[in-house]
Parts: sequence; structure tokens; C-alpha cells
Amino acid sequence: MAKLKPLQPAVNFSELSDPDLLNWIKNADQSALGELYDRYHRLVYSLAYQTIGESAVAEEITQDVFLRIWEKAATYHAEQGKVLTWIVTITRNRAIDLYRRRRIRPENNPLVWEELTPLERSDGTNIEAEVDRSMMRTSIRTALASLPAEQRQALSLAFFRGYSHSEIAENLQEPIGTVKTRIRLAMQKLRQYLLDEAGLEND
Amino acid sequence: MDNTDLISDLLPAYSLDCLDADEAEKVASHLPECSRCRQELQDYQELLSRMALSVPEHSPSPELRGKILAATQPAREIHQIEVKSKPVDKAQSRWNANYFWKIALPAWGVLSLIVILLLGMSNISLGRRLASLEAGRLGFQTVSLSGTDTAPQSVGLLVISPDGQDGCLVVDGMPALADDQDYQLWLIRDGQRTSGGVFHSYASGYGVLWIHTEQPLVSYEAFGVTIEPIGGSPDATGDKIMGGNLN
Repeated sequence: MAKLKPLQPAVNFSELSDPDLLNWIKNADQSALGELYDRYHRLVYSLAYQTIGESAVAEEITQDVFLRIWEKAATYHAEQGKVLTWIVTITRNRAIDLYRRRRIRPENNPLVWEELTPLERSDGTNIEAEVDRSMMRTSIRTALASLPAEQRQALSLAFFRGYSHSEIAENLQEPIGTVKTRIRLAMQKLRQYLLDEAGLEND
Repeated sequence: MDNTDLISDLLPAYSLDCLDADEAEKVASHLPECSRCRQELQDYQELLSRMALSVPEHSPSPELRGKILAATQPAREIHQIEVKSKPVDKAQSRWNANYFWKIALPAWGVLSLIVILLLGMSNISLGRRLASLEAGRLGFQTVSLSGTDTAPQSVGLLVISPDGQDGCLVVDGMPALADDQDYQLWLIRDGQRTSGGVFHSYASGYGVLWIHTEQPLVSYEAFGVTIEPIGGSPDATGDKIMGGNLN
């Protein structure tokens, strides 16, 4: 009997860009979703965990985020930003929504930027992507560490808790004008830091 | 300082979603006419994704990957969607997954497949009529839901079990939702609305919601679907997408 040739996978998903992966996901390709999960599950889970402070809920959010990507892939448009940005937006919205709805007590999850801890080693297998991400992580942490502590504190309440200006002012017992200025200056400085960094890379 | 500079100062807080509503509205109405601010906003949004990279890394359990992929498999095959969360507290209806999987799935699975296949026909109204006929032959009651002016292309068919306790709503042509929105089914009697559950559809506009209520579905006069904040609302607050009456 003739031997059947093993089926060769038509696409090597690990070599595709993020937007190309989303195109495959849009067409209900599970392998593409698996590859996107491999790239971003730690980021999604870690951000959810940082916001909520409970591993079971962070897993629930992670599942929700990837199922939302599966269903909403067609709504992603590359001209509106990177896939990473889109995924972080979905994750933050979902995590902050649960944080508010479940009335999680803030003391259960201290804000990470109040004390910048050393980075853990990643268990990733895609070395090149890991190196890129590791460099980005180091640079943003350096930029965050360079901010005055009070700016970092106000920014972290907005970023992880989803607090409005007035909620932050109430939380910190500071005038709302002061809070607005701190957040604006912090974000402008971080943006400038990243623009300078991109400029250096392009030189 | 011109308007663009004023808006530019608001963009960091706008990207973080911590502006007051009136300031956020000012920014939102300025953005379509100013490419500089749009670019700046994109920079801030990208900055937020970089900030997410700054958190200490943790990994979820190794089983999670398989769980997520498994959740996508049956959903795509029979176009059935996951109900995102329980109906809101005040609602009297409830979703009990075990009940359906253990008791009701065989009959309902077949029926919903028939309905879905028929709704999938290119001629939607003919599909709905055929699905109604088929459901009627099996002893089920049906309610056709038609799109409102907000979503004229939307259609739905609610199939009610012979004892009136269970139902299955199949919809098509649903308008796109934002990430923080869901559809919500309302069961209406004497002008009072009770939640029948929240759901969302696929990008194609297809969706299915299983319904199990304390009071028979046939005791309600009308059914409607609105767009609500994710997880649903205690009472309808958003645009009505479709509606229909029990004959």
C-alpha cells in the first residue's frame, strides 16, 4: 500500500506579523489564535493580575480577552494602532471593569510603580521577540523610575485603577488641579522619552 | 494658546480615560478634524501599552491555553455564543448551563441547528418562515423579531419550548458592539421589562442566546433587544435593536 504523505502545515504562524495573525483569526483559524496567545498571554495575565491581585480572576480576564479577540478580530484596524496596543486596551478595560464591579480592596494589590521591583526572567521560547520585549520593558521602567514619586503615584491610580481626576484627587487628598498637572507632566515626559528613544534607534 | 494646544494638553488624560465627561467630549469632537492630535493620541495609547510591559511578569496555569482554544471550537462550529455573565441581579430569568447540557441539549441542539441553518440562508425572511414552520411542527412556539430603525438589517427568531420555560434566540445582522457593550434581551409584560440574559454576536453578526426563565416565556407579551454596558443593565438604557410580539 502506498504510504500517505504527512500533511504539511501551509502556514508557519510563528513567522507572521501580529496584524497578519489577526487576519487569520478573523477567518476563525484556531492555530493563529494559539500563536497570538503564546505571544501575549503573559502580558495580559500579568496586567490583569496587577490590577486585580487574584490569580483566578486574572485567568478569567485572560480567557475573556482572548475570546474577545477571537470574536472581534474583524474590528481591528492597523491604521488605528498596533495589535499590542489594542490588546492592552481590551485587557485594561476588562480588568478595571471587574476591579470596580467586584469592589476589590486596594490593599490587596499594591500599585506596582510605587516600588519598581527587579524583573523576573521570562520563560518565552521566541528569543528574538523576548529580547525586543525585554528591551522595551527595561526602557519603560527606566522612564517610569525617572518620574517624581508623586507623578508616578497619580499616574498609577489612573492606569491600574481607572480612577478619574477627581477620584485620584480624593484618594491622594490633593487639589484636582495638582492631580491634573501631575498626570499631564508624567505622560508628556514618558512620551518624550519614548520619542527620543525611537529617534536614537532610527539614527 | 490655540484650540489644538488646549486639546493637546488634555490628550494624556483622555488616553487614560480619566477626564470629566465634558472635557472628554471636547477632545472627541476635536479629533476628527485634527490629524496632529490624532497622531499624538496614538502615541499616548502606544505609551500605555508600553506601561503595561512594566508590570512584573507572571504566567497563568498551563491549562488555560487549551481551555481558551476549546471554548472557540464548538462556538464556531454551531455559531453558538457564550453567555458572558449571569443576567443582572434583579432579573428573574437565569442561565443554567448544566441544565441545558445535561437535559435539554439533545433536542435543543438539533432544533437550534435547524434554526441556524435556516437563518443562514441568503433569503433571511424565507429562512425565518421555514424555521418557524419546522419549530411549529415540533410543538415549539416562535416569535419573529424585526430590526428597528437603528438596525433595520437585524433579524431574530425566538423559539419557545412546548412547556414555555425555555427558549433559544437566534439573531443575525446585528450591529457591531464596542468592547464595553453587550446585547441584552428583554421580556416585556404590562410595560415591565425583565432581563432575559446578555449576549454578543460574532463579527458576522450572528448570535445565539439560550434562555431559561422562572416564569413561562409564553406569559410575556413582547420581546426586545437593546445595546447595554457589558454585563447588562437592571433596565433598558440603550438603543433598541429589534423587537417582536408573541401572537
